[in-house]
Formats: sequence, structure tokens, C-alpha cells
Amino acid sequence: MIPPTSGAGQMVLALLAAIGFGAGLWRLIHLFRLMRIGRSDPERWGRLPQRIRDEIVLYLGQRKLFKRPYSIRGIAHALIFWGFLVIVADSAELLIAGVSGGWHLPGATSGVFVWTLDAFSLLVVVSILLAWARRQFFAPKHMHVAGEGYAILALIAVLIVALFAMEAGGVAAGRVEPGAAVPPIGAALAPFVPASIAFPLFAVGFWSHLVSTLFFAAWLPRTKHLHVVTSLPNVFFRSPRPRGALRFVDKIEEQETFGAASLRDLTWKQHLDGATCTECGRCSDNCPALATGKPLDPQKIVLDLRDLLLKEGDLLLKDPAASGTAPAHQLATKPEELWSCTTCAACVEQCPVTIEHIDKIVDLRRYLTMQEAAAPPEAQKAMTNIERAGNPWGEAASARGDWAEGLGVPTFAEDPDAEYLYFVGCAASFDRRNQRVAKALATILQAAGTSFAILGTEETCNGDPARRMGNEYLWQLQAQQNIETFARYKVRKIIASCPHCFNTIANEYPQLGGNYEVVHALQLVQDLIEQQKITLGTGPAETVAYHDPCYLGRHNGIYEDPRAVLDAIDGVTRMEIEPHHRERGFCCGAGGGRMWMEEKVGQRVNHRRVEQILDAGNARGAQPAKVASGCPFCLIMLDEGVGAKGIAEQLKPVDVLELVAARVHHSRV
Amino acid sequence: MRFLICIKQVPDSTTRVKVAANGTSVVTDGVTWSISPYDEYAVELALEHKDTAPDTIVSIISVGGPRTKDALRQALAMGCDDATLITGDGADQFGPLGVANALKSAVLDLKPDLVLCGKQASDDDQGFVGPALAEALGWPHVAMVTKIAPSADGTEIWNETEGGHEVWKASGGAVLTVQKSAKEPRYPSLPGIMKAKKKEIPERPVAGLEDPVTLEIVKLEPPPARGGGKIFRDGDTKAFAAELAKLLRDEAKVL
Amino acid sequence: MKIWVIAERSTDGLRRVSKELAAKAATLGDTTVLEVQPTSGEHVSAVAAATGLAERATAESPDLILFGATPTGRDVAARLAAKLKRAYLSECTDLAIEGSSVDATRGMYAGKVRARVRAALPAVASVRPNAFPLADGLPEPEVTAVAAGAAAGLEFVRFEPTASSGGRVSLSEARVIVSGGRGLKGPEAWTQVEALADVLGAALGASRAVTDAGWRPNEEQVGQTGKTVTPDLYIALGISGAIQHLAGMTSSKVIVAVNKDPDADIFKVADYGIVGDVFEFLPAFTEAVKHAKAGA
Repeated sequence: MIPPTSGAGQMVLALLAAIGFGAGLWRLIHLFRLMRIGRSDPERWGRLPQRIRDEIVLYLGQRKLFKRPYSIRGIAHALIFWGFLVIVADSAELLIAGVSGGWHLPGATSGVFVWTLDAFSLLVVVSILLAWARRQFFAPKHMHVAGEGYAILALIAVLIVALFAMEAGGVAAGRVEPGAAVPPIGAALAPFVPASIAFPLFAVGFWSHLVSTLFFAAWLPRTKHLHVVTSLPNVFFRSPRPRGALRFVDKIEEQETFGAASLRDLTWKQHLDGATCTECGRCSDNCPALATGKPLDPQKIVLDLRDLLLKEGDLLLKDPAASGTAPAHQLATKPEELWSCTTCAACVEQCPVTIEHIDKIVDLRRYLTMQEAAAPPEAQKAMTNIERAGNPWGEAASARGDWAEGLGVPTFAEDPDAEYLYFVGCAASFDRRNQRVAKALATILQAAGTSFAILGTEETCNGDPARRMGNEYLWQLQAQQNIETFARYKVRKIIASCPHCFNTIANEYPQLGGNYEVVHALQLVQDLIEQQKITLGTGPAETVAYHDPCYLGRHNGIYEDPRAVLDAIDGVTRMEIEPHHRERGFCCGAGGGRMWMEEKVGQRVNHRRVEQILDAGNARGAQPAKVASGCPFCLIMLDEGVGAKGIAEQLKPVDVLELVAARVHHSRV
Repeated sequence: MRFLICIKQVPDSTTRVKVAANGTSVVTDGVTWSISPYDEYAVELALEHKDTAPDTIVSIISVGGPRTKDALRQALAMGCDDATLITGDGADQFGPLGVANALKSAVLDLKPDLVLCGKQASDDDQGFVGPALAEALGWPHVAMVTKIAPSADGTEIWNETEGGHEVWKASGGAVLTVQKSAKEPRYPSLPGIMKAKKKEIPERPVAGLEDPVTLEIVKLEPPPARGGGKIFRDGDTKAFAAELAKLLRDEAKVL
Repeated sequence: MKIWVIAERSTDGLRRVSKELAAKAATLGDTTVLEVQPTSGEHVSAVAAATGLAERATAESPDLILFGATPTGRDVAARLAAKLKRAYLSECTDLAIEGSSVDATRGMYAGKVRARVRAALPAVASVRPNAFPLADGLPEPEVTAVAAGAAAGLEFVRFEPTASSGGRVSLSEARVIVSGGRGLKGPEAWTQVEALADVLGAALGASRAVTDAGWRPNEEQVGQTGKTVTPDLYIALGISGAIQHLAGMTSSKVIVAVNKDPDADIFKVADYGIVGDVFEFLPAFTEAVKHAKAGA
């Protein structure tokens, strides 16, 4: 269309554009400087193809917005976002045309563009009504609903109404250039526009559309809607580490401070996370700690760090010597919040803009644990136990291999040529309940004729609990000790029945140069069943609910192998704990070192988990007889949970391995 | 205020003690060595005082061989200021009165206001060195201490006894043997560990401090192995209860 | 052979351990039972008691001086041995004279190892209560008073009674602990548990389930996130044996478990176990302990 600007109008528009974009840019530059208060982070570069793929899938494709149970609102958001992109393109085009006095970008007058524009604009209007209704009538529990959100929605609505008014007036006033496509909505509305107001309507629509767009450009970087911009780099720079791997602290003995003692110790990417948070509350919706009344709220941690940066950032920029408040102690984010985290990754899983919550919480814990020696007393005891006895419970190190006595399970010292190392882990070595799981795995492997050995007393805690309690140093000592032992026996392949052992050996030991082929026992058993290396006999008919361990599922994406194993067991009907299964699985409460810490606030996470199993049973009209998992911590917590609920007789927690072992045929004598 | 804490390095409490083939000593191969638990509580008690009064100096000392330095470093990592090792040929073989004499000369040199140690070491379980050191110094001692409150005219000392605490006041130097208290010994900070690693630990030689009295270990009986206990099943619980009481008295000798 | 027994007195007369020692000493040689008398007030410091005793011992040279291994007895015994430069044997559970030496049985390595130890006479020893039998109807031993000496630099200020202990020893120091779990079904059961604890002179413990449910106070919780205990005797009633609990008590010398579930993991660490109803067990066992302690 021929813009309603000429001479002075062009000047005014150019001036307004300069002010709008200038104000926006000013703020962006300020934020950029604030990000740079954080330390450098080399892992954020490289791997370009993966990063570009992430942009296409996660940013443009909005992939993470569609997760259960957010699919509908995810679609609404995607429509607004895609519509926004098209409208922004159009606004830019209008601006250029307005300032230049009628010059159009190539393709701007094509039918494809005008149809796309009108179609998305209409969808955006519908989505905005939906979004408004949701905030108004069904506000999500943890979403920050504020006037700002309504204002943004209203502004987008004004933008679009102005666009439609401009189109209608423009078509009616004959401002469509010859050969240019007629916008369909404008064409549809034009017959209702009296000729007398056609041009004024066009001009008012044009100016209000552009003025509100420019206001948007100035205002957006000052709101949470900045995420439209910041999620672009935030997705691009997402961590290349496996989700289960925490950030490595290189040359730890040479560091001056440990963990995030100040805003300067967080990385720039962690600050970018704060600037990207959309305040949608999905992380908090799914947090087991928050759900059970703990002081932790993952969204609040992200926002607290952002607010601290906005509050103290200028001071830190001015004075290179200033360190500001220690983030772990600032008024908002108290240590109790940090210690409530089970590192279950439900927040990370759900965050649409790839914010890394666990890394922040662990960095703050690292400061408390290593710098201040201020971990909770029970956590300190567990760390002392790891240091002195090689296991967090403080059981005698010399008893580690006792469970295998008389089972014909060799140690590597006895059978140095064994193909697999079975890394038993502390729980299965010392907890009498979990020793039965270790024995079950031994039975299965022996039946399959798999060549394997254990380390016996030469095994020591993999270090995972210490690392997640913030004691990176102790993790490194433990990991190095194991890596040296593995090297001594030339270990290449490792089986772990504990997802925590599995995760840290597979995903974190490479940080110290320990690279192995690591499988979780249930992955291996699934292979053995598939390749018919073991055959399973018949067993009683029973319904078994499957509980996804966080470090198998969300952290390592192993959802299907354990289910396939369950499905291969005669008599077993698998039940899903609706709706908390697979990536929405609910933590047992023991991760992140919580297994060794007291839990006196709110409801026990494991008690809530047992309630969820019962609810799922009620929903399907029949309760499961057993709940199976593939993690020793889950087993301990579920055992405690059914005991506390007084239903230990009705609902029996087991490990999937035990169900297999009970039915396995011994092919060898 | 200056504290001197006498610590002993012993097999860690998580270690499963094994009796050696000779039947009179324990196997030390593969043993993890730590500060004796009550000595750790003594360190914690002094460090808590240092937390509130930062000008407090907490020194530690031990008698033993080169390995004992690891225990001293553990205590340094927790936040103690300096450490001294009394060592020499057979330093880990001294009897309690010999150790007390060796410590006495160090106390006279270091001039602490209070000397602390655990109420007993967790290897020989005797509780002799503390009172013996006090005797050698001619100082009073208070045992089973759970709390101290220094004031201008002396130190209030809480001695745990049956039904409560006797509160004593020491006007000058005293030896306190420390009991477990509610506050577990602290886990060291990493800067503390790093500093402790680099810290110089001066050695004081000892020689010829033979103990006038020695104990001879005639025989050590290993602890009963866990598992394989006597489990009474399928029978009259009341009869089992009566049988159990007799076994606890006559066989286990714990009644 | 000249033997001294240093007696202690509680509100209801000579303590049982003092009588046990007097009876045992009489079988070993000439026995004198002494009791330290305060010079002022009622509290005597260990130094003052040891000073008074040392003066007399220097004059009379007893071969063996026996104390009850009570907090006070242990404390005075050690200081006295140091004063006299004699060998000291603490917390003995048995004693025998072998020529010019005394052989003692005592715990080492936090009670995990039972040791037989020999010391040349003269020596000082503290002996645990119940180490020696006390026959009924023995006359009260004759007690000679010894004046306490001086203790320069130390004065008694006050006594602070422990409010909540109910007269029981503290959990972390108890030689015997009676501990209850979810299997006890409710706080009412503790009337019976306490009755047993009274007979045993035991402290009370609990599993986390019990303190969580509010049946017992948090201070009684034994386990990973509670207290770590190492008593001579740990009686686990209705406790299943999850590692979170075991981590706090497996270093106990003797573990007794009572549970109705024959597969309960607690039986794997128990030295003695009874598969049965804990409510049948409790009254029967309390009676049986009374009898056993009376020497029946």
C-alpha cells in the first residue's frame, strides 16, 4: 500500500523509529554488559550444527512448549510467536515504506505474504483471547500473572487491530498499488468502510500500528517478554553436556574461591538464563520439592538471581573490586531452598527456553559446601563417611563385597579377563534390601553366560552424592580413585544397576578422562532378552506399576528399555503411573544427596509418590500389586513410603531385575 | 585465649577391626586412620569458641609416627591454627604415662590457657592420658565436658554426669576431657583443606620417655561377625523371650 | 593381697556396683571399702578425691584399687593411677589375680574387641556394673571414710539437672538401648518399652518412622539422619532394618531384633532375633530380664 507519509511525516516516523529502537537498544546493551559480569564459559561455543538445529527446533519450532500437560497452551503460544514473527516482518516493511515514502521490500506485496500475514494475525487475535481468558479465569499456579502480561497482550491486540483498520481503510481508499496483492481481511472489511473515513482510517491504522510497534521495541527489553529476544541466544548457547553431567571444575586445587560466591562467579550464560525466564512457572509446576511444601521454587531461584543482578549489577560494573551479596545468602534465595533440590531435572525438562536450573543450584551449593563448610550436618556426615569409608552410610569399607559371598561372582583380581565390570554401588553393596537386587542381577548375568566381575573392596563410592551436595572436590577424589582402579584392570565395559552410578560414570567420568562403555543393568537385560540369551519362565499374573528413576529417565532418556523388560515378563501387566510417568515422572525424593539429609518440612516426597501410585490405581479401577523401578534409592524411598502409608502388604516395591531373576531359566549349571 | 588440643590417630570408626594372627594386636594394613572421635569433639568445642571469639588460637598436638601428621592435617583443615607433632623412635608405642609426660613438656612451652582432649581414645578405650597429663602439670582436670564458657575470672566447665551437669570453674590452667556434644565435628572447607596441606608441622623430638607402668595384651577376641545370629522362629514368643534373657546374660554378657 | 574398693553412694545407699566389687574383692584378698567424704559442700572434684585417696594409698600401699566404672569412678580412678604412677585398667568386665599381676577383661576399639590385658601390681581398675554377681542377703560392707584433698584452681559452681532425660542415660552414651519402630503401631506401646528400658537401665531409641509420626521426640531418632550409637546391647523392636536406620546402629556390640516379618532385613545384622509378636515379647522379656539380673 502507498504509505500515508510524505515530507514531514517521513521525518517524524524516522525520528520515532530512532527513539523506539534507540531506547530498546540502550537497554539491550546495558543487559549485555550485566551478563558480562559473569565469568567466561568456554563450553558455550563450538558444535555449531547442533546449535543451529536447536534454534530451528526449539526456538522457531517451539518444540518444548508442547510437552504434556501444556500442549494446548503451547500451541496458542506458538501461534502468537509465529504470528509475532510475521507481524514484525510486516511492521518492518511498513516502517521502511513509511520512511522511504513508498519503497517496498521485495515480496512484501506478494499474495503469499499478505495472506500469511492476515491469517496469522487472525490466529494471534484468537490466541490472545485464549491467553487472556486463561490468565483471567484459570491462572496456572506458578505462572507470574501481572499487569505487565495483560499490557503486553493488549499491546499486541492494538497492533493487530490497527493493522486490520489500516488494511480496511487502505483497500477502501484505494491505496493498494497496482499489481500488489490485496490483503484478504482488508478486502473483506473494506465494503463496510464509508468512503468519507476510508483515508483517515487508513492513516490512523498505519500510524497507531507503527507507533505501538516502536513503543513495543522500546518497552519489550524492560519486561519478561524480552525472552522473545533472549531465548534466541539462550537456546543457541545451551549446555552441550549430557543433562546428567554437572559442570566440571578444572584444576580445583588451584582455585581461590569455590562455587558461586558472587554474581561474578556465575557464568554469563547463567545470567542470560535469568534474562530469558518467561515466568511461565512450568519448572515450579513440576518441582517435587515445591509440590510437597519445601521452600524451594526453581523459578524463584532463577528470578532471584536475575533480580540480584539488576539490583547490584551496576555497582559491580562500576567497581571491579566489589563482590556484592553472596547469591547463596541473599535474602531471597536462602540455603534451605538450595538444599531442598533433589536434582530430579523436572524443571530442566520442562523449561521451554532451556534454562539450566540444576547447574545454578549446584554452583550455589558448591559455595556453601566447599567455601563455607556450611552444608547441613547430615550432609557433612555423609561426606565424612564417603571420605573415610568410601560410602555415604559409613558402613565398613571391608564389607563391600560381602553380598557376593558364595554366589560365584568373581572379583577382577580373581578374573582379570572378565568382559564387564559390574559396578555394584554403595546401596546394593551395603543395604540388605538392595543386596537382593545385586544378587538378582548376578543370577541373570550368570544365566546369560555374560562374562563379568566386580571390584569387591576395591570399589569405592562413585562420588555422585558428594558432587550433588556441592562437594566437587570429593567427587573428583572418588572418581579418580575409581578411574585408577578401572585402569589397573583395563576395564572397558561397565554395568551399573544404580542409575546414579550409571550417570556419573557414563556422563561425568569422561570429564576426568575416564571413558567407558557404560550400560544400565536394565538396558543390558533388555538386550539379553531380545537376543534370547536368557529365557524367562512363567510367573503369577500381577499388575506392576513402573516408576521412572530420574537419573535413568529424564537425565539419560532411558524410558523404554525398562518397560520393554517388564513387558517381556510373563504374567506382568505394566501400569503407567498416570500422569506422572516418563518425562513427567515424579522423583522419589532421594536424588541430589537428599537420601542422606533430613526431610522435616512439608510432606515427604516419597510419600507423595506413593499417593500418586494409589491415585493412578484408583483412576484405572485397580491397584497394582507391585511398583517396580530400576534404582536402589527409589527402592529404599518407596519401601519407606509404603511402610509409612501402612500398605506394605498391598503394594510391594521391587526392582525390575528381581522380577526377571525370579523367572529366569538357568541355561548353565 | 589459647587452646591446646591433644589428639590421637586411631583406626576410623567405620573400619572393621581385625585381630592379627598373633592374637594380641590388630591388623593395620588397609586401615583408614582418623582423629579419635572424642578428640574431634574436643576440636569442635574449641573451634566453636573460636567462631564466636576470632582472636582465639587453637593449637593441636599429637604423639606418634610420621603417619600421625595426617590426623593433624585433618584438624588443621577443620580450622585449627597450628599443629605440633611429638615424634621419635617408638613414639607410637608410648604408654599413657609416657605420652602424658611427652605432652607435658610441650604444654610448658606452648603455654595454652586450656588443654583439651577426648574423654578416651577409641582404640584402647582407656581415658587415662587426660587426667595423667593434668597430674603431670599439677593442674586440675574435668572429665566428660560438653560445654565451656570462659569469663574474666575463669572458665565455666560443664561436666556431664548422671542426671545432669556439674558446673565447675577453673581459675587457671586445666585439662578438659571432652564428651560427645550435640554439635557434630565440622566437615572442613576446601580452602581449609588446601591450607592444611601446605602448613608446616613442626616436630618435637622425644626420647627415653618410658612408661613406668605397661599393660600387656594377653589376648584379643575379634568382634562377632554380623549375620549368622541366633534367630528363633516358629515358636512361643514368651519362651523365646526367657531364653534370650539368659543368653544375653551368660553368652553375650551384656546384661 | 591388699585390695581397696572405693565405694560410691546414691540416694538410696551404697551403689550396687560398689557392693558387687566388695563381694568380689573379698574373694581375692584383704578388702577395705573406702568412701571419699567431701570437705565442704557435697560435690568432690576428681582431683580432690584422688588427692585424698593417694595420701592414704602411699601410706598403706594397697595392691589393687577398684572403682565402679561410673562417670565419677572412672574419672577418680584415672587421676589416682596417675598420681600413684600405677597401671590403670578402665571399664573391666572381669578380673583375676595371676601371681604378681592382675588380668582384666575389657573392651577395646570402641568396645568392638574384647581384650584380656595384664598389668603388674600394684594397679588401679574401674569395673563395670554387673560384671560380678551379688548374692542376696549379704551384709552391707563396712565403709571407711577418707577425706577429700584439696583441688587448687577448681571450684564447684552449681548443678544443672537435665530436664528431659527422665532419669535415663543419654542415647549416644548408653550401654543399652531399647529402640522401637513402626511395628509398635503407636505411641501407647512405649509404656511397655519404657518398662523394659527401666529394667535394663537403657536409653530409648526410635526409627525415623516413629519420630516422623510424632510418637517419640526427634532426639530419640537413631540412624543416618539421626544419632549414631554404639551400645553394648541394641534391642530393635518392630524395626524392619532399612539402611537409613542400620547406618546409625550396626556398630553396636550385640544386636537383638524382634519382628513379626521373618524376612525383615534387621535379622541379617542381628546376633539374636525373635520372629514373633513384639507385644507378646515385651512383658515376657521384661520379666525375664528382671530374673536374669537377680541371678536366677
